[in-house]
Amino acid sequence: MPDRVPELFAELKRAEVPVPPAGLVAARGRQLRRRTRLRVCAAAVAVIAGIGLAVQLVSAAAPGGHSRPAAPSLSPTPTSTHTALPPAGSGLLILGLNASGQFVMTRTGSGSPAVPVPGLPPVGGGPSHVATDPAGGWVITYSVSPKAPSGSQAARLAVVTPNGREINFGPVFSGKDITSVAVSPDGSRVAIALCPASGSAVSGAGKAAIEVLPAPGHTGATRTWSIPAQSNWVDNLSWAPDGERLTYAVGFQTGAGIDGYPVTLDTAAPGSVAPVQSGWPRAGKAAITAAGKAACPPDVGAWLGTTGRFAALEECDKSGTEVLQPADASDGAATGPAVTIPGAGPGCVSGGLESAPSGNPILISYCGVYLDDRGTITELRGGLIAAAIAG
Amino acid sequence: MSTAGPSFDEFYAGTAARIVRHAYALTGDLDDARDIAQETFARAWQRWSSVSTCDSPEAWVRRVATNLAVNRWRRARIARLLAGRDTGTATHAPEISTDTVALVAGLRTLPQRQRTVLVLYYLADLPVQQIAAELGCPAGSVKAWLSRGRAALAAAVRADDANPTSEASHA
Repeated sequence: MPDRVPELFAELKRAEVPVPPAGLVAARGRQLRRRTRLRVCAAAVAVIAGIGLAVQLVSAAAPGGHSRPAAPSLSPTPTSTHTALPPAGSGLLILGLNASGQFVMTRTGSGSPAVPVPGLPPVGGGPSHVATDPAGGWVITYSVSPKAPSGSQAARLAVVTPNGREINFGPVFSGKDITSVAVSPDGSRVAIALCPASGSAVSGAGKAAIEVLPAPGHTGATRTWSIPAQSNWVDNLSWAPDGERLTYAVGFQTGAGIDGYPVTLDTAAPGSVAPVQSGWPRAGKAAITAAGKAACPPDVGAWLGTTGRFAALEECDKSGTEVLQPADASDGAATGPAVTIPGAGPGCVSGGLESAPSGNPILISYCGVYLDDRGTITELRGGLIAAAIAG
Repeated sequence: MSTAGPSFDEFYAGTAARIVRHAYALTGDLDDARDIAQETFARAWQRWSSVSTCDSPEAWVRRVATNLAVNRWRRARIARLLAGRDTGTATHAPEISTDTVALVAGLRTLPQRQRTVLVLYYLADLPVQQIAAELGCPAGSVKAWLSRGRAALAAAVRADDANPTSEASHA
């Protein structure tokens, strides 16, 4: 009965389908912008201006007004709503964001769907990042709306415990996006990467910074390192096992994306300016390894727990292949065989790389997979776009 | 920024549901469809200053969504083959009718080109010539895929009508 085909399509046209929140689209756009550093769009100046205005428009309320949507209200939640957490199983706990921007918990090796965290509303107002807290649980970042339409976006930090409780800490970072967060191996300090909030002039140089502040329950001075003018973007923070060196990706954001590469800062040394140079190959530059093989620029890099090993996710732009490459943190020299990550490509934005303290497994959050020490890659159910393993 | 085109939020509000439906029809999985729509619009957002001045920004996002859906469908198929099983675990929202589920299940049984032209023709209401332009192939090929695809889809839907519990066996 071929006549039923048009009728069925007509019914599909009328079907109510869930649409992703606009805030998530903007957040994912920022990740894409980082990855597409070599894909030159139209005229750079027009694109830069377009991105700035588009962010404001995306964030604006839909009909009529220009105020931003309601901020994710991350106020503490009554204990009674946490009875389903943590999810059953014996694997390592993972907190992440699913494709709908909802915080969920799951476990490695779990065949069950991730459990929504009822105390944490969906992220709708901006990007959010999740980092392992070695003391147990996680540290998350989230955006808050301005009180006035003319105000700029702000960012905040919170601790999330394994039973789903959330506690805010630290100051409100007005006019800033927190582009990365990492907790020191002893759990005493939290490092954050700050960049001008979306909608600001992205060409503004020298506005990015790294800040290290005491974790909840710990004392100590807050230190800030400014990013020199030749770079305006920093993210992908990762503490070395010594708790003093802090590796991050730094670069310059243009309309075509971000040309970034890993750099290491010694937080025990004096000074207030973060270094922006290292021996890593840079995107767009001819990069050849000592063996004469073309090197792929790194997307993200991270210290693997407390093992002292460092690894980077590298993408070969021409082939689109994504590999996990054990590497020297100072210059990117390979220190072991690379592992190809299947499933990478469209829809798999490798925005995060993190491992358990033992270095196993390694979570590749935006691809929603983890790699164990046997080289097995397992997909996390639920398509997590940002996640971290509990400390 | 140019003021010639629509603002991104207006464009998103007006087209997002259509793109989700489009991706759903192509992948047969609502979670995948949402993710594809998100990725698609993130790309549009990223380069909105140029996309907004296209003749048809919606055609641009539809093409991106189609490519993403086809790639994802291929990967999923390969993964199922490598795993030696076909779980058919497509997800559907509770609001989706059984007829729509049957349609999507039927689409999943079709070759990718047939499925794509059917979706562009019946869901996006594109004429054959425009489908040919979007896919970069001759109009005659589109007509052939459309004809074969429609016949195969009708047969699949008919089989589903006869056996309503067979959805999991598709794909």
